Amino acid sequence: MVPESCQLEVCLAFDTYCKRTLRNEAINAHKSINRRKQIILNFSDLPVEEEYLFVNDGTLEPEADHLISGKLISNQLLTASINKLPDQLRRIIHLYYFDEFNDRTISEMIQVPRSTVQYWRVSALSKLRHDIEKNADDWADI
Amino acid sequence: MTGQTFEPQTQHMRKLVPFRVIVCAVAKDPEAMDKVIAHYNPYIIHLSNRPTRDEDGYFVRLPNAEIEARLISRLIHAVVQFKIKTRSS
Repeated sequence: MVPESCQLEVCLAFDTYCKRTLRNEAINAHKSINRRKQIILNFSDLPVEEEYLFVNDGTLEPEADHLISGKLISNQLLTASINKLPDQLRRIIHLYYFDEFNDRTISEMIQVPRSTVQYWRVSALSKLRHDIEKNADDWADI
Repeated sequence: MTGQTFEPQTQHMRKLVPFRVIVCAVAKDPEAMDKVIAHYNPYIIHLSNRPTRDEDGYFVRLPNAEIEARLISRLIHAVVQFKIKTRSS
């Protein structure tokens, strides 16, 4: 059994120990948060209006047109061309350009070698190009 | 040391964690650990205060939950490592 005077000593030592530990840890925590604050800037802390924080160039709207190498290509024409592709190639185009997977992931998903995915993708693109070049003239000549 | 009395002992004792609780907490007893954390909770909240921007854009000091959690886990870690030393030992 520890005598009472020693108990008090232990209690005091424990109190000091805990307070010192807490204070040092608090200093560390505040420092690390300050350091993080210098690197990361929250949207809510930005001094500008919300409407300046994003740009909408309208390419995703159904009526949008793209002027590429002197030809006017509309989203409708692009959609029609993609829909004309065979199922397999259309699926590759969707996975690669719309869902943004890479070749390796796609090859694992549909159980074919990676080089096959690449070959299908390239052939799908060339088919698309032929189709669009053929039809773009019908839409508009700039 | 013989003639010395600990007059302020009761006064001290009120502000300190009881000896038995310390012994249990160091031996990783969860209830005692809860008592220790509850005892230091006001201090933890005081330390975790950070100037924060409120809804009207004014700076007010509010306790930060992240620092609070970090302090509590550090306290538990520290209590377990505490070594009880008496003069006899």
